Amino acid sequence: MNDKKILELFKDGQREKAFVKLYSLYPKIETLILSKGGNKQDASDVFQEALIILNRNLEKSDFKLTSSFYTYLYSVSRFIWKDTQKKFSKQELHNLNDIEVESFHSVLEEKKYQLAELAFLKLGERCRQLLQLFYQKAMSFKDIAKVMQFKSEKIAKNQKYKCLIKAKDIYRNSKTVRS
Amino acid sequence: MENHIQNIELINNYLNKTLSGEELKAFENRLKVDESFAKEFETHVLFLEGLNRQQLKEEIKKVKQSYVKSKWFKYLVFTSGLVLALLVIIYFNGFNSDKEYLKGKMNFESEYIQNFKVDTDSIVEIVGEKGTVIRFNPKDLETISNKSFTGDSLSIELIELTTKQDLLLANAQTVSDGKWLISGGAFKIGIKAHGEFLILKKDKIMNATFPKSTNEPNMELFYGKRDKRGMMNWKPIGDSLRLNPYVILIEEGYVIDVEFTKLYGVDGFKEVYVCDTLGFLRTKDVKERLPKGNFYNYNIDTLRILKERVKIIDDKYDCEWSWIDIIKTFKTKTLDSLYRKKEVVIDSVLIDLDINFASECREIWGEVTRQISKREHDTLRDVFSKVEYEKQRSKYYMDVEEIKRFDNIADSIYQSIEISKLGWINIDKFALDEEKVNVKLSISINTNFNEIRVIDKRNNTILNVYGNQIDLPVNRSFQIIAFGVKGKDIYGFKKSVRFSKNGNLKVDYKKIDESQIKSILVID
Repeated sequence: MNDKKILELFKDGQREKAFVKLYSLYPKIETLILSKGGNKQDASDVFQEALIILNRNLEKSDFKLTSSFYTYLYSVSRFIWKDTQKKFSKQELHNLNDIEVESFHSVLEEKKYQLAELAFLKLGERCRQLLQLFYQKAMSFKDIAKVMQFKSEKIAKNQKYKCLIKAKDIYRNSKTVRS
Repeated sequence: MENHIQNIELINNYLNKTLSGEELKAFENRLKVDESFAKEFETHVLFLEGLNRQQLKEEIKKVKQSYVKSKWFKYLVFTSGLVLALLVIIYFNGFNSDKEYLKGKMNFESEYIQNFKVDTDSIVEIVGEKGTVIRFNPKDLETISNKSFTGDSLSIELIELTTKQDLLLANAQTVSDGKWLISGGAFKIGIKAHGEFLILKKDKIMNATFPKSTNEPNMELFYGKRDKRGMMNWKPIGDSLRLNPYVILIEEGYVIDVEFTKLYGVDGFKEVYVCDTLGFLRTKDVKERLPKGNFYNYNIDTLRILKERVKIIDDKYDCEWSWIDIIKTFKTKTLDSLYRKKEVVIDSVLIDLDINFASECREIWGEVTRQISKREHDTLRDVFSKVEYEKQRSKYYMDVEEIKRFDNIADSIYQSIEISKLGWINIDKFALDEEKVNVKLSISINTNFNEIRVIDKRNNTILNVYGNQIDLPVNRSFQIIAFGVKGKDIYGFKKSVRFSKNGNLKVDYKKIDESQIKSILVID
């Protein structure tokens, strides 16, 4: 696997192709998680999370990949698993190297997005569909109204706002509970 | 609420980069000064990122599915490959076992092996059943790894394939790199010491005489080797058989004439010819041994030399003795001048002189050593082999059979040759290029392996057919013998063919018993 080529795929917006290439590293991550007491599903979840974190960082203009994809994903996966298991010791956190510190921060940062995602998932199905059509499919309210059978474009627009507010409320509440 | 909706729309436009320059400036300024707007922006972005995670997860899920699929596909391909490889191995094992089985059943080479055990302390000479004579010095041999061998005895294996039938049964096809050969016999010499094969040392040679199985002239020497398939291929060594003639010396001798002795009560002697085979002698050796010989041609297979006493008589005495054998008598006018001379040439014949003027015709006796023709040789009566002559010189004994045997040997062997390599040796010549027709073979039964032989009815040529077609000389008669095998089932086919144009030949197999193979291989 050529890291440079994968990086180019990300830059060219061919994220899915880049993920395909990176998935070749999955067996190693799976071995890591299995060795730490996880199962195959855990490994799959951890790797997915690591790819999301990688993608988020690559989208940041100030991010620079200072190691290989393998090292990065391995390090991030390790922290994700530790975070899942809540097994960080103080001593361990003191002894982190630069890459590990970065990975650790990324994992912690991702948690807030996870909460936002959770909030979205807690919405009703129609709300989720409406937000996805608007944000992910970039459809106009006119089209959304047609697809979701709202009486008018305006009603679709109002409905979208309500859903968003509801999601944000859920997020705020879950954040409060967590804190 | 309407205000809130407008804010979110504005944020979305900012994130989608659809704001104009002024709008963008105003937006960024508002973020700085309007704390609640900034918070709203942050929460919105965060939520969108949460939403985005869902999209990312969808993408990763797809990738994972394709990864799992490709993993299984790889496993499947690998497993299929493995299964296929196993099937191929099983098939080829089956094929090879069928192949080896049939090849083994068709090769009767081992039946031709003659074994000899000889000592290593002197020059070795062995004679094969069909007349091959091998002479060598054991000191000229070494192991394959060029080391001296140990032991005081050698095991020699000799194979003599002198007929087309022998060549066919021993699976010794007569082909040199695809070119047809007419064989004058194939021979194999193997020498072992302590079970280890030996070779001739560099620059050392072995003297061999092979029986002649054809009257084809210009035969050459070929060394042979079986390929991985067990098929024979011969390579010419670029050296025609050397002209070392087989020399027969016939001298006069006397034995008791039994009938005469019985009749008259006194010993009567009878003149006979004593025949001795000197073996293969180089011209130089013949000249050294018989310096006063009169030879007209060394360039023949068999040199027959007659050594006889002759008379030289004085012309002026004109002895007209009726019993004088004209052939053995030379006349000269200067008889006295020969006195004290050791030899004389009369009528181009060199005569070794044995001066004796005692007789009435003033005869001088001498000896002439001259080459005679086979015809003249055949007219000689009372011919004894030297061995017999020496054994039975005290009694009259007539046995021309022995002499005939010598004569037969002389007619049926090639000149002595020097070989520098053990193993398969062939005396062959390349068949002439002839107009050929293409014959396509079709097999009636789906056998696993076929062995097809083509036997030239005219020449000593045996061929193995490798593919499903063969080029045969036009209008020539051949016999095709084929065997096929499928598991333990053997099929046989035999047919005489002659093609005047391109054609097809169906190998119409019949199931046979393995005991029938040899009888099918017998050439009609």
